[in-house]
Amino acid sequence: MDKKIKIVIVDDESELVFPMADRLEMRGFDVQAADSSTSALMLFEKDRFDIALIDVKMPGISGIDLMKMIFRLQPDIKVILMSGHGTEELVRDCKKMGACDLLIKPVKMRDLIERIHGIISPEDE
Amino acid sequence: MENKFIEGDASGLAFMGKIASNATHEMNNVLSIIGEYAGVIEDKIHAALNGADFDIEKVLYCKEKIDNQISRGRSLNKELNKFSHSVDEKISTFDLSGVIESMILLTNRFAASKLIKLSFENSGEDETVRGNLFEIERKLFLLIYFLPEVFAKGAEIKFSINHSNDSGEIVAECRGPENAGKPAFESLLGEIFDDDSFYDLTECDESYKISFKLKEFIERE
Repeated sequence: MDKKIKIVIVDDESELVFPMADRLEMRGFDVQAADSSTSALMLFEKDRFDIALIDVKMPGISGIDLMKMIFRLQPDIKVILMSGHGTEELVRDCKKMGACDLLIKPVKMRDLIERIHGIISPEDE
Repeated sequence: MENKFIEGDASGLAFMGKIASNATHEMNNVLSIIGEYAGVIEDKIHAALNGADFDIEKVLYCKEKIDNQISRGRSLNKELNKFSHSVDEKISTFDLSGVIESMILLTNRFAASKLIKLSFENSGEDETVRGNLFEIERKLFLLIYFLPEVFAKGAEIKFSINHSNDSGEIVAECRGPENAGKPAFESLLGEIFDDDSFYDLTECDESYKISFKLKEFIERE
């Protein structure tokens, strides 16, 4: 049986993460959701993920800082950042810091799935 | 402290820009949430068309979530519209409680990102006052915007209105786990509350109480 791709979604808008997690699960992914960076770090203490989908702007530990922290915990993880507003400069900066991509909210499910399959190769799966 | 923000914002344009940016960010989240729940409904319809049982409970749950976000969006839109009219007249008659509640709604996301929790103790009394609405909104915003410099690890600000005198005096009680101390507070307030306002700072039980009002133009109706 194929191994499911494990995804963690982190956004302080809890109303956003849970339906997003539902929709990804319906498409065959193994998803966990966290509504703060602190909760996300707790998930990383117990588990490993293939992809982290992280909102840039969050109270306390920002999405960028969270990304840096999880790279230390799991250097091979792929990170996709999300932001309400994004400039080319922000996209460039995020990629320089190690993110695979930056998606602008509202995120279209089709775009997200494309990105996920683009960064996880069949061998990884 | 971003002195330049205050010095260069005599017209209040930067302040209005911050409010607009905060509100559009919030509205974007509202639309994103509606999009996600609408997507869940679409997925359930597709699943049913492909032979699965139609999950009516889930669909109704999503519909309720969408309704909640529509209400949230409407409130935000209403407050933003009211705010955009606050410069129509320099002196106007307004409900001071409503203004504080409105500013809390419009700055809540920004405040939360700086770990500032805002609340308003509404006494329920008539708070109709006459004065410079825009300046009051600007002072409230500056306080919320710069407070993280004193409370780096977050704080709670509880707003209320002082009824012990005739003028509309706003009280902001600030409490946080750690703060930079009274001199830092005084320096901050000295910059926010310029020649057109009175303010008072008192320290009590690990919290700070700031009372302020505009010098000339706030009076109860």
